[in-house]
Amino acid sequence: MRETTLVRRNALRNPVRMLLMVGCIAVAFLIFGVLSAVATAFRLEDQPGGHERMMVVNRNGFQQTLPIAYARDVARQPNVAVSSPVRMALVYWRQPKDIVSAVMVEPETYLDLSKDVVKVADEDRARFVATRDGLLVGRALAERYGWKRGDQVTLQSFTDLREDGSRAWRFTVAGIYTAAQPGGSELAMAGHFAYYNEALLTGRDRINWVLVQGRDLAANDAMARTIDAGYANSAAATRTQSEAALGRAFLSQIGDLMLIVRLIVGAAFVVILCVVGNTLIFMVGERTGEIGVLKTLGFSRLRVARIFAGEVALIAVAGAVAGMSVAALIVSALGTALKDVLPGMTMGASTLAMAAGLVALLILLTGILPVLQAGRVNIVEALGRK
Amino acid sequence: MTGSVKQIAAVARIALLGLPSRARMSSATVLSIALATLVLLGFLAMASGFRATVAGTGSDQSAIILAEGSASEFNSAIDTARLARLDNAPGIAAGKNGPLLSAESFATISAVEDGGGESSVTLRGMGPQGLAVRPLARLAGGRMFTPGRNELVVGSALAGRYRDFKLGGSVRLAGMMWRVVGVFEAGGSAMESEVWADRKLVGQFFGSSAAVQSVRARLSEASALALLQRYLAADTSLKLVARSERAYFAAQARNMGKLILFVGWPLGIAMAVGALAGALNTMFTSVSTRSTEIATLRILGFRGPSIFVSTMAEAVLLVLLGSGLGVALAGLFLQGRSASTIGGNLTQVMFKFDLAANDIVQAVTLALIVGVLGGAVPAWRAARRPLVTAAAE
Repeated sequence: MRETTLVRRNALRNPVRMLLMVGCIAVAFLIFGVLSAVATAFRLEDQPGGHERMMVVNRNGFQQTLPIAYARDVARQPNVAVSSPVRMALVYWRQPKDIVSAVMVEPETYLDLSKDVVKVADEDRARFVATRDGLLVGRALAERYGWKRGDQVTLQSFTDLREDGSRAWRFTVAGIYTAAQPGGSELAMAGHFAYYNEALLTGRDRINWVLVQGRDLAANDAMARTIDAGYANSAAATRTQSEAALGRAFLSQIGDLMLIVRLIVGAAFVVILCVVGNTLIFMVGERTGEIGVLKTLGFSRLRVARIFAGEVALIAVAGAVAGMSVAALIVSALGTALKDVLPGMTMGASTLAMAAGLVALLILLTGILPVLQAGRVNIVEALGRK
Repeated sequence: MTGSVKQIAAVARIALLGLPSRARMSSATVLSIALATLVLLGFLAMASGFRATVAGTGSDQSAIILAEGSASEFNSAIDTARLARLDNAPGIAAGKNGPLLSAESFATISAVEDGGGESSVTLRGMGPQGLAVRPLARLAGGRMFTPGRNELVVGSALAGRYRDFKLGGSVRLAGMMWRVVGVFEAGGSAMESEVWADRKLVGQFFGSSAAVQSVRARLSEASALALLQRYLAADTSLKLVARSERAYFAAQARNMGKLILFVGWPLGIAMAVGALAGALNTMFTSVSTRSTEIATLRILGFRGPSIFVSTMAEAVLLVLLGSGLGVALAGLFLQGRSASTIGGNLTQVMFKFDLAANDIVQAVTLALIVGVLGGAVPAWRAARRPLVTAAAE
């Protein structure tokens, strides 16, 4: 009889127990798979170019503003290849609950800096750059509100008042962009800073950040220090960081997400270690008699151990595959349901690699005692027991 | 009838007394239930604590006035021309220097924590009546800021956690030094995570685009809110809306509390399903190790139901032990632990984990469901197994 046949037959001998163990392992991997996907979606460092693009923000946070003059100063830094000032605008369409994420930008430099993130057709780009009240709108957003190129839309601002005291801003939809990466957000919009700025009643000539692309990436850190040192004693001190680092710092304020994820996944794995490990030890005890028979037939200690190790591996792999498959289904469903709130939720290669590592660790930890125990069974005792 | 009760009690006793001999499998179940309970309780306690902190920030004695259409201060702007017309509004309590009103705006500042990390904190600019319009707040040390001076009054949650905000110290903000002249308490609410200063200075040096975002008013009595609301609604050019502070903060707390529960429950249930697989396994093993014992009992005349109940009793005892352990661990390690997260203004709000009685009931109920489900199938099997097969083993 081949070893693999023995392994298979043994595993299926008590199908209920087998299923329960596989189910228990599957649940742990399910938790791991879903939480990892959510955690990756939160990490902006996976945005293409997120490590290279730098942002100069107010030291007090990106909600605070900087004078527009900073953008001109930054552009003169020797290491700066392209830079672009950005102002956030808190606006809504028709109802206050329909808040739209909008930025007011300098079109050409902004699009040059964002080409890793958004894709814009050449004619859309040209039209957006040439239209003073033009808007570049994400495809998903345009579909949601039924906007087409050339449409006039009036957006209401929450906080920014126009010189005439009104909150209504007229724009023309000049172009539609799509996400450069699958799963990327298509729900934002950009307008011209110059158009927005000149009509403001208060807070004119203020921006929220300057986007910067360095010539030499290795010199980025030195450039950041020089910029920040220049404003250290001014009314608006700055902090210059990569987009990824800024995103991480912001997220760490929501809570230590990664720690919470690790604790929960840890708890789930402790549960399966206990349950599966104990069941396996019990199983070896139950089969002492037949291990004696195998050994009598001339199976070496190593072969017996291998047969049991094979069974442990089969159970663990079956559980992991089942768990990760269900996790993949849930992640894709959640990804569709939450694509407006949390775009980019996918099960990446790094998650799968970690799952493989966890399976190996699980086999080792749950298997080592029962396998050693099975290898050590003494023929005389085993056959004499029953 | 009493006979069968006695029978059940006797068999249950045998089953439970035999537990120590199956200690390893049983403790695996206890531990897995304990961990599932702990994970669920962690989220429930976080949600309760957060809600208590944020919802506790509001009083019925005070109203918050925002621009029409704005759900929070964050996206509200009120131009100063309309501000003066609030002075004559009805329902507002009178102080020594006119009606108790405080026009406010906020900015975000970055501050250094005791541990050295930096995070964003709300700097609230308020009028001289800022303290008087807040029934829940009182000075715990020092004094209120002097209008026109670079002085700060900090919430006690911040004073306890931030190096930058110790009473008597000073901190560099917007290129100037600011002195911390007072610390205020507000019953452990989210208000304690704010820094207060003169509104005119905040507007001037922290460049918020709106000079005034909200107006806080002390009501002459809780029922006066309706008067104020009617006054604001009657003048359509005002475009202002008043809510009681309590209603405002309860709405703010709802979303975050909901979010925590949306994450917590599915995770708790998934862990419970894993624990259920473990419990079923343990009970099947228990029934199979006791198969000779059970067969003997049945030959002696004990009936199926008593065998069923005894196995169920074992399962329920195990999950009760497990959930008890989980609750104890949560009480020991989570209760009162302080945490912080981002609040409505995208700045830090400090809160404490709070295990409410209701949370414990929910977690223990979940564990009991696991116990009943995990016990029922093996118990059914043990009670129904043909005697011949059972005794033959």
